[in-house]
Amino acid sequence: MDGINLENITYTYPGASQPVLKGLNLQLPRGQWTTLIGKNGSGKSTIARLIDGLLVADEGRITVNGLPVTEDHLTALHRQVGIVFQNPDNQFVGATVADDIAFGLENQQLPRAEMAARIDKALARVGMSKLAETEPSLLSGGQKQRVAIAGILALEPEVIILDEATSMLDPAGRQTVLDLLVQLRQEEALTIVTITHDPVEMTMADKVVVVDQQGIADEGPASQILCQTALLHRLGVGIPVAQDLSDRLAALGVTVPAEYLTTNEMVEWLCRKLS
Amino acid sequence: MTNAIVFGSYVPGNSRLHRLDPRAKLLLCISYVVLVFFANSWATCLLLAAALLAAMVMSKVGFRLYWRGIRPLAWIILLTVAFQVLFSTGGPVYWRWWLFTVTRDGLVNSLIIFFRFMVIVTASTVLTATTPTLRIADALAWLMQPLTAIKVPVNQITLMISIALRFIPTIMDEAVKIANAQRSRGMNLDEGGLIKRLTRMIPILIPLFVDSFKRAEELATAMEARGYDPAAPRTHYRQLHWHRRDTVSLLLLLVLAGAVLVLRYTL
Repeated sequence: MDGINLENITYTYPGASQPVLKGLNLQLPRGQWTTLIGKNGSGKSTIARLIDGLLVADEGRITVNGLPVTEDHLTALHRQVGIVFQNPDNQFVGATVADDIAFGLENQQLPRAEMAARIDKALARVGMSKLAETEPSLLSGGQKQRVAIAGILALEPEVIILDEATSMLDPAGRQTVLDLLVQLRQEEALTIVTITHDPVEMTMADKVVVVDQQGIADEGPASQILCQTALLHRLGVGIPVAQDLSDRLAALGVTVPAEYLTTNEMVEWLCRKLS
Repeated sequence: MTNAIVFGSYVPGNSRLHRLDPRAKLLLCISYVVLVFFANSWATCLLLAAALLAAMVMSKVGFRLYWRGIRPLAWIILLTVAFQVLFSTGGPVYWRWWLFTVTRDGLVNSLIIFFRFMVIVTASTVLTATTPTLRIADALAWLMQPLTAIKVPVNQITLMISIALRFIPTIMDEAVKIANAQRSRGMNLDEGGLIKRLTRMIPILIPLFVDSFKRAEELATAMEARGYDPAAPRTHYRQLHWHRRDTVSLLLLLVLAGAVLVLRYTL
């Protein structure tokens, strides 16, 4: 079966009295960008770690493009799935940018000649070719996260997961990482999963999945999720500017479109209304 | 900048010594240190010192930088020398008071120890000044390779060393951040006696340790996600290249060793 399938997943952290996920079912189609949103501790990151076999579910079955997530398939699984974590520093293994990208390739026992070619290609993809020999302490957070993405691209995975990978970056750094993701989605048939609190990032995804109370509270295109202001408030997700505007207009008695509009769509709608 | 205090030593350059293979430099440095222990006369000491001086000149690293490398150790060297002078016995006695005696043998020994200390520290500084730390780690890994035969996990140790080196600046930054955070809460780090200052380090060290453990755990997860398996063999991206100049440098050292040994055992 294609894509990522989670069936009836239950997971309890060691020492916790309550499972963080209970009987969760979720399908992430191949080649699509899905965003997981939810409160801190709702189990978003747990889902990411379960998919990559970094955690083992108490119950249930997970497959990634047909490959069952079990102890026996971990090596194959780590080749298919790449994760970019939140803290740019704590995933930088190598002493230089090139060394860091080489780390995953060394684990796959690639011959050196092929490694150099893959590193060059991956660095070119993220626009960091000039910094190949730079030490991590001289890089910005955004640059480090781009290196992390390059390290994963070099492994030629099918699935890339970003676990709040932009949350510790400044706005410019965040934008470069998001632009890179948009570009990757266009050019390669990558399945992208992002975990975020950022409404802008949500609107870029094909599908938004709301993780709440041990399971999936709602899922659908961003336009359907982002207009549920009450839900967003409860999750602690920022309300997008256009939605906020639309809510305030509604409160004043203006009839507004029911679904979420991006800022540009909102501007167009307002112009049509006013002319 | 914080980096400079710990491994202060690498001075970028393109001298002959910089270009030598790190394995050659490591071997040279180790065998030189061993040779220093064979030096027992003015002739051998002068010969070894001359060789070191030649290496220092060849490295094109300023003498002032070398001095900066040795200076932090000056206290230890002086203390050891003072102990030798005051406590060792043998030969004619020049001066005696309470527990302290200054004898001829004591003076000679302290001179030899002083010489050894200075020369060994300087020789290692020549190595670290001309070789990036990471390269030294690579060379060390190569040198330890034979240990795999007796089941020493050389590759894991090497990876550990290189990760430790890579995280030094990160953890230094963190320490500065924590110190600033504690200062902003009204802690005064720069006043008081030694004991007071040391106890004030505790509120910095504890968060630093906790943070480092968290880092370690996250790093381990990230490494596992990228397919790291400690038991599996890995290929290596960084490769060292042995040139003829490296062989020549080792031959030169062999000549030096021969000269020192001849001087020691025949004269």
